[in-house]
Parts: sequence; C-alpha cells; structure tokens
Amino acid sequence: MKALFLADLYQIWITFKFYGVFLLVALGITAFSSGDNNLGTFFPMYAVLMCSMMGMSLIQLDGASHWNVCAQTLPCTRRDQVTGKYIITMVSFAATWIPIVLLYAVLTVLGRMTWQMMAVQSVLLLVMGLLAPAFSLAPLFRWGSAKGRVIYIAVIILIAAGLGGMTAGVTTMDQINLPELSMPLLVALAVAIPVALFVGSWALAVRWYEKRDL
Amino acid sequence: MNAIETKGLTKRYQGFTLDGLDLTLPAGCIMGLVGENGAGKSTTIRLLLGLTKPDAGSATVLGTPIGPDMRQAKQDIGVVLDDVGFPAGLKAGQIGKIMAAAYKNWDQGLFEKYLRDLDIPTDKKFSALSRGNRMKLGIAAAMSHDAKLLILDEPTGGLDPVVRDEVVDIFSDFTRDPARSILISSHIVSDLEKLCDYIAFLHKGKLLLCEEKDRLLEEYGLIQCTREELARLAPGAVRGKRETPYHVQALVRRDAVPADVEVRPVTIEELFVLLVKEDMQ
Repeated sequence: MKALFLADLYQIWITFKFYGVFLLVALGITAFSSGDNNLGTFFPMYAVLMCSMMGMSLIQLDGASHWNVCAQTLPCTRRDQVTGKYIITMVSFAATWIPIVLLYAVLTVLGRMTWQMMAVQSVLLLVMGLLAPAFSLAPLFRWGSAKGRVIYIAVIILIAAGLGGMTAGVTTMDQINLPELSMPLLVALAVAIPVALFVGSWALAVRWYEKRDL
Repeated sequence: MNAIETKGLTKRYQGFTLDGLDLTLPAGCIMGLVGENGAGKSTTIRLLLGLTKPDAGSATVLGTPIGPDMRQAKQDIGVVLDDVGFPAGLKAGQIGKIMAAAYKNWDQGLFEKYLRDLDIPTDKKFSALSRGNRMKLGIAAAMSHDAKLLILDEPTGGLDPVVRDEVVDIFSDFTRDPARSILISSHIVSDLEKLCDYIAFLHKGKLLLCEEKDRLLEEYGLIQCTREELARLAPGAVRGKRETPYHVQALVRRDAVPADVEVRPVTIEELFVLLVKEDMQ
C-alpha cells in the first residue's frame, strides 16, 4: 500500500504540481472578489472539481502506462489499489476544501460574507467534491479508463435528465413540495448523503475491481 | 515443494481458450514457455499472478493458491511483464524507492549495481527509455528483492544480442541457489535453450509437450530422407516433418527409428517448429 501511495505521490507531483499554484490563485481571486458572487463561487468550485477528479486522472495515467497491472505483481491487493485512489482523492479534496472554508470563515468574520452564505457554499463544495469521484471512480475500476469515462458521463446525463424530467414545468422553488426541515438537519443530510455515496462507491469499486481481468 | 503447479488451468476468451494446462515447475529449476504469438504464454503468466481469473482448474505458486490475495507469496516473486508497466513519468531512482516500499527484502545496493552493470540511464523518465532499457530496468527491479521465483514474460525482447547474453547469464546465476526458480516465456528460443532445465511448448492454448530439455534433446532427432523412406518408419516414430521438392526433414523419436538411419541432433527451435507444423497439419 505504501508503495502504491508513493507511486501516486510521484505521479501527482509530476502531473499536478501547478495545481497548488492554481489553488492559491483561486483563493486570491475569491478573497478579493467575494462581493461578486460569480467569481467568488466559480473559482472555488473549479478548484474543488479539479482536485476531486485527481483520482480519476491517476487511474487514467495508470491505465496508459499499464502500472495498474504492474502494481498487481507487487505484494498488494486490488483492495489496496482501489483504497489508495479513494484516499488520495479524499486527501486532495480536503487539501482544497479546508483552505477554501477557512478563507470563507475569514471573509465572514470580516463581514464580507454572511454566515448563511458561508455554510451554503461550504456544503455545496463538499457535496460536489464527494459526488464527482463517487460517480466516476467505480466505473473506471470496473470498465477501465476509456469505457469507464463514457459510462460515468452517461450516468451524469441520465441523472441530469431525470432531475430535469422531475422538475419540468417548475419555474420557482416554491412549486417544489419539499418537506420542511430545519437548517441543521438539511446540512447534516447534505453532508451525510455524499459521504455515504462516496463510501458506497469505494465498496462497489473494490468488489468490481476484484472481479476484473487485468 | 514445486515452485509452480497447475492442474487443468483453463481460461476462455472469445476466439481463444487456454485449455486444461498441467504444468509443474520444480523448485530450483528454470522452465521456458515456448509458443507462437497468441499461443497462451502471457495468459498463463497472468493467471499465475492472479491478474486474470481462471474459468476452470487450479494452480499454486510457491505453495499459495492463485487468487486475489497473494500478498505474501508475491514478496518472493519477481515479475517482468512484456510491457514492464512502470509509471511513465518516473525515473529509475523513483522506481527503486517504490520497490523498496513494496518489498521487505529490497536490496537497494543490488538494484544500483544492476543499474550500473546493465547500463540503464538513471536520468531519463521511464517513457523516454528504449524498449531494451525498459526491459533491463524491469529485470533489475525484479531481481533486487531476493525473490525465490522469477516470472518473466518475454524479458529478452528488444535487447541486443550482447545484453541478451548478459541477461541470460544473470538469470543463470540467479538459480545457483537451489531454492530459486524461473518461469520464462520467450520467442527467442535460443535463449531458452541456453538457460532452461524444462521446456513447455504451447500451441493455440494447448500444451503440446512439457519435458526436461536434456531429455527432449536426447529423445528426439532429425532425419533427412525421401518420402518413401519416411513411409517405411514405424508409426509413431515421426513427430513432425517439413517437406521440400527434394527431400523430407523429419523430427523423429530416436528409439523408434532403425539403427542404420542417421539421426542428427535437433535444436529446441527446430523441435518446436516441427511439432507446431505437425499439429497444424
């Protein structure tokens, strides 16, 4: 497992070394444009999406060089290989999300953001950062990087189409009959569901990858 | 204990079946897997490493049944796959560090010695190395953790004759310790002839023959004769033949031909080619 982590860290350093710079720039732009909702939201979202796709990119790099196969000749299991990618994804996500949330907190203390806005944006980033890999990683482990990516995109399109169908004709939020829930419960649900999907995705990926012929 | 033992190992793909493979590699020996492209050599190696699941049959590697968790056994196995498969952007030193983290018995000094002896560039990324240098790096990594078994898929492919000879010598040295074994597949049959104790011939997913090399060379020979002379030989004496407009060259069992027939020694390559041709006929 340690060997697989080391290989991933080398790959991250080689392939994503400028990501750190991008994150700093994104934080800077967010700090100085918090009054402007578009910029203050877009850059953190972009950074979170980029980092949450890091595991997906690593799997694609592994597949291209056949490291995924070579790694299975080392003393490690397929579970190790899958778990490593999920942990890398979690760590890279945390390394992006935590500084953004800290920045939001500072901006809130300085009065340039409301507490409510800070909470909504932080949870939104958390949901995005966990859902993207939860839906993308398992298909990659099951079908490989080329087919897995197509299936991931197909699933996203189906989900979007399903949501579109469910909300057809709805023009305002008032038209959606959501059960009345308290804010803390909503936040808890918004965090718990993506976390559960992320963990479920890991379990599914292990199961699928253990069955796959390399 | 046998280093490798397979019983009825079967894997079915569309258009190809590795069919009921029975192989035994005793500890301390070198076995060469010979076969044309698509004969099932790489499939066999992938099955033994647990990279692919068999559809039927069983196998053990260093006493461990093949399957999803061969962690302990893999500590004692050195592997070189036909495309090696190290991460493209990494250099030899970084690959050494990864291997050091993977294997308990990793010997960094030995790895560096192989890098020097085999003249492997350490300042280039793996993707920038020639096929020969990639293979050499794979061999250096496979041999630096005191493995008890080497599983090598076409390890001499892409190497020039001088380096090939050097690598074959390294493999020979490796098995001086009687506890160490090698399973090696190669198209370059002359390398296997120099190196192996056992030869297994695979053809279209079937094991044509698996025998001690010296016994094969003792048992079989080549004769050159006319068709009429060939027809007079006992049934079962001829295992393969190659006909030209002028004569017939036949692979025969030495003990099944009359004493007055001149039988010359056969090479493993000739043996394989004639066996395959016979099978195709």
